[in-house]
Amino acid sequence: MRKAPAGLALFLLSALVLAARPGRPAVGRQSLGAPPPLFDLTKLLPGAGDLQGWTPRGKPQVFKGEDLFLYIDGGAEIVHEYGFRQVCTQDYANAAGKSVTLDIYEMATPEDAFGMYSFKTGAGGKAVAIGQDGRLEDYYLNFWKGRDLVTVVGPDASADSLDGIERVGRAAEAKIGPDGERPSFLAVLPKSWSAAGRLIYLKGMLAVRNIYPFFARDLFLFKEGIASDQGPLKVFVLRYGDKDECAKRFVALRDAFRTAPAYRNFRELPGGIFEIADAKGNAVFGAAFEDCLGLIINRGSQKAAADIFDLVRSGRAALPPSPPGRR
Amino acid sequence: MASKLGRREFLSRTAKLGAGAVLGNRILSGLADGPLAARAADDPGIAVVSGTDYAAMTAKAVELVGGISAYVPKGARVLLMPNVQSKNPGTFTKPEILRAAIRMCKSAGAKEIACLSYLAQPAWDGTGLARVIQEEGAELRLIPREDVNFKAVPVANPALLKEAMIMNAFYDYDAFINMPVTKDHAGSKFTGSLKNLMGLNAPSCNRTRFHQPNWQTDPAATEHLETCIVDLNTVLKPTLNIVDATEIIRTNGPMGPGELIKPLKVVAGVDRVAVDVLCATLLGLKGEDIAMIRMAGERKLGEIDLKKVRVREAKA
Repeated sequence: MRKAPAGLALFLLSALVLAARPGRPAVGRQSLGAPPPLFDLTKLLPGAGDLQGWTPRGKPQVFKGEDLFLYIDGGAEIVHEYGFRQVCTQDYANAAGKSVTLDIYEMATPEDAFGMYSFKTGAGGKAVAIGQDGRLEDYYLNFWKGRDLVTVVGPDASADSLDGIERVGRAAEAKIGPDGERPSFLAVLPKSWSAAGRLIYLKGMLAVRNIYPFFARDLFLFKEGIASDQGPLKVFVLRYGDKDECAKRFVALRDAFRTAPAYRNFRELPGGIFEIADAKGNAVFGAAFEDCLGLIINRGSQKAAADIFDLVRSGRAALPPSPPGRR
Repeated sequence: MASKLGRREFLSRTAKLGAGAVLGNRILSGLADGPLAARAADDPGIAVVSGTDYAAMTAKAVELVGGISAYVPKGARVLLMPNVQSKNPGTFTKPEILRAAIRMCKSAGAKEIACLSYLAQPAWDGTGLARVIQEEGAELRLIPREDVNFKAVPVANPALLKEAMIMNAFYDYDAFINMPVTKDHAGSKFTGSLKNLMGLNAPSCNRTRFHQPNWQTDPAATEHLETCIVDLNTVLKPTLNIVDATEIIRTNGPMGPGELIKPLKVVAGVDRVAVDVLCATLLGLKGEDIAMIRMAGERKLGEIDLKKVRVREAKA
């Protein structure tokens, strides 16, 4: 009987702490398993009182699960590949009639939100301090925070539009809950590479093919991956979470390269690396290490490829054990 | 009577131009040839017009491929199909281009001009296309997404899609002008004339047959979408394609927002494969690298080798 009031006090204190937070509780890798219930994303939308000079125009729309195809007709797969759960979209207008659109995508995990962010953002534009990572390009802003990916788009790159984009973006950020975990697998590649080109966290084959069209079939079936797209140099590191599975995939992949009409001049190199040329004269190098498979596309430098594989091998060795995968 | 006269006039002109890439619609149901089969010595080829006046560029591009009267008979009911993806810049067909097309159709004596869509009114409003349709006296027909509004059409010799589901209302028209915006696509890397035809196919079919339910785990699903698009293109043959390649996104397609590039071109032609090959080059791609274009070429839906196509270039 004496414990009850203390428990109740603890409960009330917790409730107060949670109520004081602007958004949802943090969700990270520890939450893998049953996904949390869908949040009411309209609660994250800035209202007129949150913005100076901009007001909501029209009603917000929410699309959940497969309904995303109603919003992105003919192109929603990539968002699903990254664990899409729901999106809320709202227009805002200023007195001059200019409008910007805010989209808040709720993904399954913070890793997914980061992944979609990494896919959507290019090397162009400039980094901005909004969310955990934010990037402002000509007429639009992308940032991610927790499980949410946020996009704010204007009709053009005018000062008016950019003002609305930034105000709406910052107001939305303030309402989104705490930060989430970034994919730990990012550490497999050197941090400095993010300045050299796009660094994309991978969850499936669509994103891979968007960067380099290896095969018509998905022969990789990986759990998570990372790609560095530096123009003529592309590096993929795909993780299986299991050495045997990775070894099996590597053998199947090597055979597929060897027999695919689109590739020629297969050769085995020291260190378990293979090399083959694609139809455009690029060299494709492949190697397996631990539970990861590495693929490098470059202009034909074996030494550069071997050096990169060494880097990746070291990066992999420093990582914690593989998390359970989704596939 | 007007219909019969229109048909005769149209057949005469298309035969002369070798541009008989027409749908199996009511008036023109006898014309089932594809662009390659119809190509003649005086093939109009494709036109690429550069400039900043999008309406003038559109008019010039159509003029270079034979003029609107070659495709729109007097008294015809004309279906125009712009791309209405989103209001993000570079993702939808520019209203000025649609306006120019409507005006050309009117000048050719079209009896009725309409756009058909299973997308909702806000999509058309947001892009400014609805306003142009209204201002020009054309019609926007929004078709409910339910299957009952679509007709099963068997695909002859399908690679995957055995049956398309085409809007019933589509068959109300005599001429079909396909008006995509060319741009990036996250899955297929490119979208243009071939893919825009999905806008006439039932959403349920697009979802369940074009996109496999297990597309995230089936290794064979990667080119499934592109293969189905090519199958669909065997049952739908635009009378003419007018492509917006003025301001387009190079990344994050089809919805964007993405990196905006400005080729500032309008491309027109009957041969949708050749048109798509040319548009792909504007995105820094080669036709043969795009699975749907490569497969469409292999299945003789059009010419993939631009060296074999008469490309007329102009400025407006």
